[in-house]
Amino acid sequence: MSELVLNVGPQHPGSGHFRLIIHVDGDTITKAIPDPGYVHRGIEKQAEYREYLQNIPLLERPVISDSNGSVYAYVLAVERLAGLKVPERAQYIRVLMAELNRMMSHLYWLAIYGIFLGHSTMFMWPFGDREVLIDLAQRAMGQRLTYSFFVPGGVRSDLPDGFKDEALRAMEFLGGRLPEYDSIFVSNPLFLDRTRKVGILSREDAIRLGVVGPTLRGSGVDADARKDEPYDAYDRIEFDVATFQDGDCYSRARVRIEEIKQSMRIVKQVLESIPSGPFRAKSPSVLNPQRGNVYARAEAARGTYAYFLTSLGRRMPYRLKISSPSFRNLPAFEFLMKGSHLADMPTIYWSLDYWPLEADR
Amino acid sequence: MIGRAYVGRLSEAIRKVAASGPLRYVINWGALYSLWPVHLMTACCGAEVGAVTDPRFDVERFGVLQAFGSLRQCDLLIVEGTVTRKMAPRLKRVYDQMPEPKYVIAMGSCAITGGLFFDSYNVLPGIDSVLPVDVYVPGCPPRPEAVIQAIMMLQEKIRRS
Amino acid sequence: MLTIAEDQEIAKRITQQFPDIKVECPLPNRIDLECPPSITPTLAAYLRDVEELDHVTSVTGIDYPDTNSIRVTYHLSAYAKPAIRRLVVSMSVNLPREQPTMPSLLSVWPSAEFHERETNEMVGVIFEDHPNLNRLLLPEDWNDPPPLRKDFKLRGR
Repeated sequence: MSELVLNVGPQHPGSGHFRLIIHVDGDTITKAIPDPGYVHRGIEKQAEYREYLQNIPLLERPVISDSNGSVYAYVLAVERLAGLKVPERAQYIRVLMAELNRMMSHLYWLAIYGIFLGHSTMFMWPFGDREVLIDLAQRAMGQRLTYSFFVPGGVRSDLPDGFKDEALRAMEFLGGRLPEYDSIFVSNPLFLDRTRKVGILSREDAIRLGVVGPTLRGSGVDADARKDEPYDAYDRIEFDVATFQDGDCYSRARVRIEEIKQSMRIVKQVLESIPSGPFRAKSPSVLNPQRGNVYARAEAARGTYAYFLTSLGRRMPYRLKISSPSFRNLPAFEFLMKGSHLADMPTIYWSLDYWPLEADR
Repeated sequence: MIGRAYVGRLSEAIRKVAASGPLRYVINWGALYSLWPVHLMTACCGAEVGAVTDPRFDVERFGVLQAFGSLRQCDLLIVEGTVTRKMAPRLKRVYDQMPEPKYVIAMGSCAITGGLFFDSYNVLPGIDSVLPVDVYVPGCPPRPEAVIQAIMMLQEKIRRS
Repeated sequence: MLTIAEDQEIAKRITQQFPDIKVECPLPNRIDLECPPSITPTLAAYLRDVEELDHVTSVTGIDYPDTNSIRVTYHLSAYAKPAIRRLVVSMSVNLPREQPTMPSLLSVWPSAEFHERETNEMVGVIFEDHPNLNRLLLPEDWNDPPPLRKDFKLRGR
């Protein structure tokens, strides 16, 4: 049989602009070459022309559904370079907001997985429930998706009165919704049939390809930057790292749903034990950190975000390198799709939670 | 002879009748209450377009249905966010494949003037140079209510045309 | 969980094995190495096999026009050995600006494939023996110099 080359082109009814060049032999995929770059905006170059504080809105935009997760590591890097000590209350608030974002991002992922597999109810339910969390974010930070809330030294403002009760009510509501998702989607026999034993990534291959996030944790490696190199208040909060052993699409889905549950656990602990005090360290608005390099990492919803910041003592960074989880998961496309059926391509694609804006920067 | 001359100009005659009057009103009414957008999740604003279709904001009551069939049957193109130089020819290609009448909404400041990425080497300063835009929605990202207002303004524009 | 003493332990072992390279531990959980380009494959194989650093997290190219050099930094980390997950080792190489070539480390760490490709098109570093150094992120008709060089200025800045 001759080979056919398909373009799953930049415009496709799924996530953002990303092209996959797929070589098909009959029904089997022989090669899947990823072609990113359709939303490459040159953020690394732009960061060299903006001050440290001005970079924060810029660096939130790659992953808009999890904007705190992408900025967290940058803020940690600048604090280490400038020698700023973050007050305890600010640390707890940052953990709270980062976990809310993680839940929002995973609900978004679940909704789009519903579309990819043709389950439109599963698009509506998580999206609607995500609005409850967005309301909480609006209450505390003033914006729906892009907050510019984390600043070097702490956070921009304190939590409003009555936030704790609203947040606990939201957690209770969401906790009641998760079994419903389970009954219509995750335990749905069609979903199990389509995702079990599909796109299997073994433990050795996951380590060798250097993948991150739930893709890695679904293959049995329990690496999580919140536990491996704890930052802010994560070493004082109890939570588990969701890990499943099978390495197929079903494992990766279960990792993300378990992470939602663990995030709810973290949020409840933070709300109970948050100390009082200042919410921001005193720092100049135009930072002039010392010369040096710093590498800082944080765990966003899609995996470990890392920033390598080089400073020459001026008020703008000399070089900012962003290591985003979606870019590090790119080798998994070619590896997982080889040898699979053509109809499994959407299932594998979205189980990796590839966000083109984040990979292209 | 006369019959053939009349038949040859039938399409012109229909167009003249449909261009104004009650037939025009009915055609417009049909178009504006069933604007189907192409699923072109350009950039960050796409998250807000997703939010506009969710149960809280529910744009389907305005007739805007996320038709995931094919772009060949859609008449609305919402450019959600930054368009890069690599993507611009593909965007034009998507626009060319849509059937007439078609409308374009430029959503977000990146689609209007380049937005936060105005000085980047790979970003178009607005999509005006590529597509004819009907409605501009400022914001970064615009709230879903603003997107719904844009759709209502577009409906008003179609009604008046 | 590592302590500074254990970092120093690993740093000492590397210095004993490779006496000519620079080894520093400026911050906790970080070891910075600097070596000439010719011994990078040997050092990489040592770091993978003996110190068990099994993947590359990023490859950065920094352009220093004042000293006429380009500095390529590999950041390495470990998944398989939980005791050293806290550690991130950086391996830096200084290359001449007119001819920035160095051997590719793809044969040692397959996870470096896309990172090296990106550094090639953004800074202009050539990795020898890389099987596929094509355009990754930039448009296909890009004819200007590599964007992350300092002589490529942004519009209006």
